[in-house]
Amino acid sequence: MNSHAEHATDAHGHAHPELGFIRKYVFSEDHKIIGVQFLFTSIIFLGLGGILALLVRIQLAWPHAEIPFIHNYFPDNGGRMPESFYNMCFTMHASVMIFFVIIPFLTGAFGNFTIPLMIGAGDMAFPKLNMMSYWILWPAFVLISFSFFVDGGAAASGWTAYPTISSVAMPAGQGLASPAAPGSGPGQVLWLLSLLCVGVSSMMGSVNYITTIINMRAPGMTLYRMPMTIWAMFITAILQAFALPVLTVALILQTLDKTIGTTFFLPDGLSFGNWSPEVGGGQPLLWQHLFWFYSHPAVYIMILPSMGMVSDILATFARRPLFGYRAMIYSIAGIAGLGFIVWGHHMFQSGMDPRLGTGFMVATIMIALPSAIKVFNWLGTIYRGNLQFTTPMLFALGFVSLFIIGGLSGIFMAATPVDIYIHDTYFIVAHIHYVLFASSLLGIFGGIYYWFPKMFGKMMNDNVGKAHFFLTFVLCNCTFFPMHMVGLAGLRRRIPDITAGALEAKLLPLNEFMSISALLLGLAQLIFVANFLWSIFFGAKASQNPWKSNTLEWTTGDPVPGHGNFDTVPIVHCGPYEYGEHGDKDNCPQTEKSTTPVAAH
Amino acid sequence: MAHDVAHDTTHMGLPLPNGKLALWLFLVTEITFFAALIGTYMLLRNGQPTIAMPWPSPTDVHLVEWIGALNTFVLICSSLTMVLCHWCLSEAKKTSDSAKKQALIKKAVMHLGITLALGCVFLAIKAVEYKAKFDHQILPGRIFELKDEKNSTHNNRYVQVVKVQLEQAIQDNSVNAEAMKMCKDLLADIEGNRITPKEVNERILGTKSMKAKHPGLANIDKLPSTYCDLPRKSKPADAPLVKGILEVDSHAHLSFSIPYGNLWASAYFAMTGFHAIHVFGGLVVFGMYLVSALMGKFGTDHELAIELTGLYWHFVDIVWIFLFPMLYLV
Amino acid sequence: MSDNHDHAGPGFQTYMMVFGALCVCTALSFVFNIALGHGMTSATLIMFVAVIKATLVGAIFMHLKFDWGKLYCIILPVCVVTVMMVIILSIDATLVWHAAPDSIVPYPGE
Repeated sequence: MNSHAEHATDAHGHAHPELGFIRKYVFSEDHKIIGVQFLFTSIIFLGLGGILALLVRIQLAWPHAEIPFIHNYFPDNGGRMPESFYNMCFTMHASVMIFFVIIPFLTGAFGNFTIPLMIGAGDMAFPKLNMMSYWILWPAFVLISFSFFVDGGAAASGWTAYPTISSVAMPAGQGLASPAAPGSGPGQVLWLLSLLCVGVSSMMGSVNYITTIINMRAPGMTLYRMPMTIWAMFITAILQAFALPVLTVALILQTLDKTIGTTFFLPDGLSFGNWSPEVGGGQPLLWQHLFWFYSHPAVYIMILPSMGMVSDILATFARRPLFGYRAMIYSIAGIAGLGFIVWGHHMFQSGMDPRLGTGFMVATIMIALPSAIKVFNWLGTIYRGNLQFTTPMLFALGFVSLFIIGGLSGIFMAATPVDIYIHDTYFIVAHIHYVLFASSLLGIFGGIYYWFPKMFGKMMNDNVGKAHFFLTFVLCNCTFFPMHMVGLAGLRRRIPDITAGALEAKLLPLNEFMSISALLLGLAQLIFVANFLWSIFFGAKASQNPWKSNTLEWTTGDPVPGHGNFDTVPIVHCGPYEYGEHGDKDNCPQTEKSTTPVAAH
Repeated sequence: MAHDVAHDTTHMGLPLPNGKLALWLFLVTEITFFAALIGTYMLLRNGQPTIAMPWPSPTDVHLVEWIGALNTFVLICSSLTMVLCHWCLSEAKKTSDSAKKQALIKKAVMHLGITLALGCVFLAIKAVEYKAKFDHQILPGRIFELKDEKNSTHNNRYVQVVKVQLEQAIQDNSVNAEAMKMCKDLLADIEGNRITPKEVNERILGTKSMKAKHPGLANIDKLPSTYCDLPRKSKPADAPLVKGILEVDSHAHLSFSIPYGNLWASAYFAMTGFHAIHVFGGLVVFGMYLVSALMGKFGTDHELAIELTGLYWHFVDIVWIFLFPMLYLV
Repeated sequence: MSDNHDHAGPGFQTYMMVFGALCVCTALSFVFNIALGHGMTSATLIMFVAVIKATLVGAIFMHLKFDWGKLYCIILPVCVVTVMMVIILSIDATLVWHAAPDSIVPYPGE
């Protein structure tokens, strides 16, 4: 808790003693370095999460075949994937992707990197806190990776970790042979502790971001002149700060249930085979409420920053102002606000009070409105624009188109009667992946290509980037679109062997198609990683403002900003979307007075 | 501090120091944290127990209200001294008289020291309370909440613990004559393996006490229950009342089954435990400032820091203001 | 970048008076507990007293009386959301139970 007011002296580039390599690049307090650190670790975990996903897909498509590469680890099962391992794969795939990839990418990497630069500050309000919020992720990484190797294996009760399957204390020493459910052992405890660390990191980060955005903007940078990226980061930070403590409580209560014998989530009369916890009184549904109270805002945390970045990218490469700037801000605020009162839509089938279900249904359907406003505004932004199809632009356009699909499937499941049928089917999985992979991750890729020059001073190869885009776009549709179809046909989630049921066995060919697409999709990402790494060292040198964008970060450095970001405090004279005719240029950076008044939106 | 550029001089942001804004954001997250804990408690308390099997009463779980009230008073005093510490520092900042400044700073340090001491007193009283619980096995996972299962390790442990307690009572001669005879009889039955844990519980508490604890019990007599506390349907409604050792001598040190005791212990220790952790955190910060005062480095520069620490401490006080009635009084 | 205290702030007298009020409130809630035991009335009164105490500490000790204009945007929405969460949780968990206070679902065959 840093209780000393940090002044904006950093903007005046006063003399600093030269820092050693460790202090400059490892334990750095510079938000740009910390942002890049988040970026690298997120990419590594993207690979891990992707491998877990491929394991899931391989099992689904070829349920009776040996697992490639690791079949020697399962001699008891003939090299095939045991069901408990399948459970671990989908649990850890989701946990890693949500908590160690998407959220660190969006809030850690892009939040850290862009916020001070785009608001004209020298650094975050609390640089040391910022550094701690990155390094506290490392215990989380270690815990979650280590959980695969403990007795009983990794957490295997779904990333949602519903009691009672997850919160029963596994009698010691019995491991997978325990009468309690496999996947509820020490691996689950490590999962809980790991997520606690991630939560603490996020909370520290969001306090930092909110303070920075409120208090450290450059003169002239009013709230209504901030780029959408910053608005999105601001509102996302608010969501994180106010929803995470509830998840923290839930995780702690489940940890206590598993370790010291409390019974918050364990009801009376529970028995697993021959074994019973003997005392009870708890309520399993309580976990679901506490968990989803955070996890629903979490999904907005995972999409809003991407939406903000896409807004900026679209405006820059359409050379047009963002259509409906204020409406976009109010929509983001609306999505966030409504996001706090819709968590029950994950629980329509849980046995909660149906009257509450009605309330949640109404609120969930209402969230479609601000999302739709945003989509129309993006379309309005690019309409009749001078489109430049660079790689970031392609990813942003991909975001918009695939978000429409993901959002539409969400409206289906918002209606309780429909959800009763499609809950826990692949229709939900399709929705998840359309909004997370096909929207959020595409937005992240766009952001990486867009801000790469600012981070590393080089340009990523645009042709390779376009190849990455086209492969990813086509293959992710091939992988995830059929999930809508198999889901409606009745394929349930989390089933390792779909040939066990006659109905679902008919869906095997489509599953094979999806798995092959998924494998190719994974390979396509290697192109991106290769491009990324190669360009850091050998990419073409970037000019100061290669995209001719308006926002403040493009006015610093050449192009990588130094310590303190700006040589002199920037003065902001106009909004971030002054594109269009401005004398002999088609844009007007925020630090210049706008010569041609842009038509009011 | 001055910006040496000509511009529209509107200060961007709130007229609050960064630290204060950040601390309020942190406090708001803590509000959510404790609200979730309190919500859990309210939900569990109102949701699970029924009129027939109510929430454990304070006497059953060795909860002493006046100790809680004393703790509240201690914390309120510490809040006062904390705010006075800040007040002294802000007065010291305002004055230009050097001697007065030093005197006020010294006073501030004294107030900070008293706050730390009072915080330690709070934790000490808490420790005494916790010890009372430990001594009576009132802990999550260890509290006796007997159910009907045969071969239940939990129930067996109960009988073993009662056996030790009976032997102790007989050896210490700590109960009156009538109770002593009942203890000896009970011990003989336990050693002879002639008695179920449920019956041990009834012999200790007494059927009349058990019924008195559960208003609305008339209905429960007719319905099945897995809790040992309630006379089963299998016993005829007019079966003779078993006299309990605790009815004869209420000071006997014997454990009995507490319905929803584990739930109570879970909620109690979770809420007061986290509050105590937050108190401890505050004490650490006070300690750090006192150390810097000892080294002569404490002064009016710390005014903002003390204000922020004070905000945190008052928040901890507010949490206790809600926890105390919810756990002890209501 | 900040003007810490451009207001007078509470004085020593105010702090002592608030302290006195807090002690009285604590004693009051204790008295309610002894006099009225457990139940709806005593719970309401005691919690009402607790809210008064919390308001006093917040407004005077934590300076919210003066800083409210700058901070309400952060504090108020969160309090609203958390109260709403607790209410919804309580509805879900307790309404069904209180609809039939003494009914315990018999086991099959009983």
